Amino acid sequence: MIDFIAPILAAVMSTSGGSAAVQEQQAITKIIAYAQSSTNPKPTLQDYIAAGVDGVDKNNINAYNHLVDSLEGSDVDSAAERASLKDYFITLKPIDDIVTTEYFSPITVRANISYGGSDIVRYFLENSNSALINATVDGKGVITITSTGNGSGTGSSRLRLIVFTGTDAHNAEFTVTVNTISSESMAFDPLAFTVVSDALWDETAVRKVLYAFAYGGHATDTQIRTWAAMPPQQAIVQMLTFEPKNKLLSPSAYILPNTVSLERLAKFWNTAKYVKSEKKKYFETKPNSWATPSYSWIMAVMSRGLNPFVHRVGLWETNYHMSVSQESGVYPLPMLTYYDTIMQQLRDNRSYEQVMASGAKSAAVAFQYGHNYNSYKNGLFRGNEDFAREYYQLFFGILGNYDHNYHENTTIPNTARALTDMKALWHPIAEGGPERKITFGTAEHYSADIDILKTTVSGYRADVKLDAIATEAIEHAESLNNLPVMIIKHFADDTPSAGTINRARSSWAMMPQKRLLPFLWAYAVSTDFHNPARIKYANSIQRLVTTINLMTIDNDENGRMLYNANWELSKEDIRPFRPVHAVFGHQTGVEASDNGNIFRINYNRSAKSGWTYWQYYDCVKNSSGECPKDSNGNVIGVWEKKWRDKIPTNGAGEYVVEDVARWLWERFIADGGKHYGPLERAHLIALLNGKDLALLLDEQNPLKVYTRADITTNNGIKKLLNDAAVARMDLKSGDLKKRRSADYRVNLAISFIAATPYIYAQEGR
Amino acid sequence: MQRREFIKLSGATALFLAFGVGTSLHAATSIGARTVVNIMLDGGPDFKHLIVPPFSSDANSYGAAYWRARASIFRTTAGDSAKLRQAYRDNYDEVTFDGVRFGILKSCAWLKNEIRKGNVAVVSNVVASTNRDHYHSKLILESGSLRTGPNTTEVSGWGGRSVGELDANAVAVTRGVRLVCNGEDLSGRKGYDNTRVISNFDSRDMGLYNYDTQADLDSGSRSYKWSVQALMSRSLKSYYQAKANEIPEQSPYRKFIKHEQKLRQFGERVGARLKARPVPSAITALYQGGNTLKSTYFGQQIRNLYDSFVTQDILAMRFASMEYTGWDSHRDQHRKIEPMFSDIFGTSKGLHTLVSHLDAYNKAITNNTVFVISGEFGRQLKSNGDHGTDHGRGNSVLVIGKSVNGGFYGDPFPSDETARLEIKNEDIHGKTSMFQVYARVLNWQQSGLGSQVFDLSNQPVEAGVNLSALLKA
Repeated sequence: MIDFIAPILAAVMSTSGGSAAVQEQQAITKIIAYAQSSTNPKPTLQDYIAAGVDGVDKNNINAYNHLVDSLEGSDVDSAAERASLKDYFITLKPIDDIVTTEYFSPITVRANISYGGSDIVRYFLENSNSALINATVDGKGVITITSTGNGSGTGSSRLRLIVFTGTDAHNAEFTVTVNTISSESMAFDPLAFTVVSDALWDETAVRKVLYAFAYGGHATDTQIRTWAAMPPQQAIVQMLTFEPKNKLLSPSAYILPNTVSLERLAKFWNTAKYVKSEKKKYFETKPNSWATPSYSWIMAVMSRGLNPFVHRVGLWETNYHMSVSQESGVYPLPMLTYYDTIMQQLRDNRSYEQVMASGAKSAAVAFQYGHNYNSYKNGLFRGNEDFAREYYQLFFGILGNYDHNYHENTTIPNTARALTDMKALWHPIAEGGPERKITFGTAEHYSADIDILKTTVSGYRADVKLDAIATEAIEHAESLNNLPVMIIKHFADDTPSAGTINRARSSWAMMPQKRLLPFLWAYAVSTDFHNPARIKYANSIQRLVTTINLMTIDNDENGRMLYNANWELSKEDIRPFRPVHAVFGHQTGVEASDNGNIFRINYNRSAKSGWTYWQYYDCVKNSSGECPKDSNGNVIGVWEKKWRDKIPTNGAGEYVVEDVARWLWERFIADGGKHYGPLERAHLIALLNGKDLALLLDEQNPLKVYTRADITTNNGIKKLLNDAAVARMDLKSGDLKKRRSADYRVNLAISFIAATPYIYAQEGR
Repeated sequence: MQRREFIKLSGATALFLAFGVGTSLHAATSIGARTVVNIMLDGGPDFKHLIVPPFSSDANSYGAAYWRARASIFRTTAGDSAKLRQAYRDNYDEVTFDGVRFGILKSCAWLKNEIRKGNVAVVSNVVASTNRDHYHSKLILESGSLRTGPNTTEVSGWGGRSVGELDANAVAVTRGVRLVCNGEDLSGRKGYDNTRVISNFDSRDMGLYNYDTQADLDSGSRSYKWSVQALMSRSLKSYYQAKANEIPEQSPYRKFIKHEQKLRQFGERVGARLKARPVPSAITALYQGGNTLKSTYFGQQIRNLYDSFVTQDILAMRFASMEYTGWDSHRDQHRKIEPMFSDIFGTSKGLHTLVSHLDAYNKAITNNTVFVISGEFGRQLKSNGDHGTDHGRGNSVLVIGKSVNGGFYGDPFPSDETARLEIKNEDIHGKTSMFQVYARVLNWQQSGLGSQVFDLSNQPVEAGVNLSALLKA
């Protein structure tokens, strides 16, 4: 150890500023001094940057200081040694990356942390909220982290465990975030919206929220009534959460992984017993598993026991708002990582600018826009301006109207320079496929401060700059105006009124930290959402996934993939994770509604090829491709539809056609009966009796068209319909043939509903 | 009083009648009626890559400056004249037409021949939107109005307005209906009305399924009583027919009634006509793979458009909408967009195959069809550091057809660009309004139509350019 520390340290303590060379030397000396003794001043982030130590940021600065503290001064007195500091850190893969406690229940996380066979000799634990978390290290193999379960606080607790092993001073950093926020514990704030009155907050209102935000959800009718009976402010925080599971929204006895990660869910379904063996291929996680993102996403939405709202938001973020596409060279694994990263940010209740910055820092976005090779070398920028523009426009809603020339000539070119040295390399499939994460470097990064949005941001690497830009952009006037409107238009309102727009903007602006969940809560129970003038046309995904989700009774049906939403969507030329407008997002509801071809396909699905709707049993086909039959001529089924488990009975335990028709309409259309008129009633009653209306009313005249007037004024017709309406359905019959026939008729009725005009749009009231 | 004004006064009543049950008031449109086919190239197509100045060794010339500015696109350096010259020779055929010497991509030989035949007008230095935002620029371009805001999607398009005036229909052969097709809502209650838009993305399967119950009755079959298709198709047909008189015009659900009516009205007749006319094999090859086209989607649109012309009288088509996406060539422009240009303009590719077969079917169609090919903006003059070009503003538009007076309208290589070519962020100065070009095409369809569809006040035309001569009388 060279004994120059003391005099220089004294100089460090007494000097500030100076040239870059002086600052660098001061910083180096400070680091060496701290390695020598932790009684010396701790190096700051600026010190590490000035000393040229790569990899240090505000998140890991404490970890670096602990590392340096564990070393000797001679270990860090050369540039090479300091440059290798980052090599001391390895990231250990915990069994559960991120764990969220629910209602403060204790949890345990285990991670294998054996490192090179060496014993753990020491560890250091940082805990941002030690009141909530206990952590122990068990030998060299297992860390156990337990939430205290005392319910005494809220907020996430970040644990940072630095483990020292053996004599080589190898260290391991292991970070677990334990989020003890349950959504219920967050306070509801109406923001600038007005909460709908209790009188208007009824079952239909609840269903409309579930339609707009959760593909109809999986909640029981009883639960829907319970929410309707609660004040909307209380109900909504139960209905919409960012947790992986929401037992009220999606009850199930199935045990599913507690994660928002599509990749982890895909891995689960790839081996889950209840998923049909020939369907498991849709959940492989290979570099060329192109179907996996889409199939996993739909399975996540439809799975009883997860949280369809979370994945509704996931589609918005990755297919609309921050859209990237498998059509544009974003491979499946980077796509999954992209989705999972964003969803984890949301789950962690990050601010919305952090969510967007996390997207901007992804490999998927880099592959989409092609800035993964952008560089700044020898004063020369090499790259393109594509994402430099769209980061503002698409992510934040900043079009440049604040100063068009400045935006074009300053903000965008400078941002392009900020997007340098953020490499994600493309590799062939055989070599694992394209990289899933960006490697941020400094050697080819434009490290100078940049002017953007009429302010200056700093950052020694692209990721730091992207974070800094996000912090500025989220508060930019254009973003404050546009982003909240983009959100409500996507979820629920194609043509918001000026008043709604103003309230959305005010609500967004008044949030000190912009967060998506509380904004959606406030909007979803507002008078703006529950307004008769509100119209939202359903895009193909919304319409089909909602319908098929509500067709589904349990995860057994999901595992059999009886209702293949992907297949049905593909007929409409729509594929999740392949947005029709690439970075500008997927098909909108208005586009779908204006498209006669989409209407034709959906109509013919019900009229001609409604296998998805019509099937009511599943069998194991023989070598001739036919379902074997029993001695009574009934197909030997391995599954049969069980509408009896969903449809309510009357007081006598019977399924009355009239009641079933009305229940089905509300389940699939959820308009409180607004459009359930005589025609709808008549056609549904007929189909639930196994006939079409013309056949039911006059077998000799099957081509007759019956109008509302015919149905409501002709006493003979009225009587026939009323007689058919009181018929009982054999949904619980012990007779297999009768039971199947009853389920089949319910399916016909659904098939009809799914082709009416009312399946294509939702009104606010 | 013009017809348009009359309908405005008549309001919803007239529209309701226009699509009352199975009734159309549209005037008869014959096969071969003057028709505009709008091909939208999404992403900002670089027409300056399609038609280029010849390489020049005169360092101060436009031809030298252009090739220096674009050197990186061809993976060479600005200082290597020999390689630049070679890049020009390797990729472009040289043509002189209308007094202009230029290079055109070798892979676009059909276009080259059409230029030589005088069937192509290249209108240079055109502009619509003056921003570089894809989304907003497309809204402006397709609505045909500079007043269209950045998020204003509820507006009519210039194609939709034109067929309203022509009492005809717009046919979208694309997956979705582009904004350009949106018709004007004469009731004033909505931003647009698509009564006159026909979606024809699957021209060989256009109709709604209709179980033939009558055939069963005639034959004595009882299938109509138990067939699920019979039950469902009768239910839905009957229901929609009854609902047509229930759902009011202003209802958000009315558009689905209109879809059903249009598909019912056109589907069977179109199907019957096309049944007798199989898709030509050369057209089939465009969308069924086989590497004929890079974009089979464009190939399918060619098929749809061919079928739409074969049934033009049924569809009352006077405006057709096509698209080709992916022109946002920030990187690797040479490799990315040349195959796309080839898809459209190459020998035996999209337009060549279409025009050949339409010509064989009925020459009146090709004599009376004009293709308008444009994008939302052009690209910057100088290539970026990623072998591509970033967003610009001004661009060119191509107008193609036998009715076109071919030639250059506006200077494709203006001297004022020479110095700017090598400055990052500079782009083509827009001197002619895109709307002026579109308006002239519409005037060819019907005298005065352009000014009925566009507000042409303050819409410039480049000095010395006579757009009135763009099309033959």
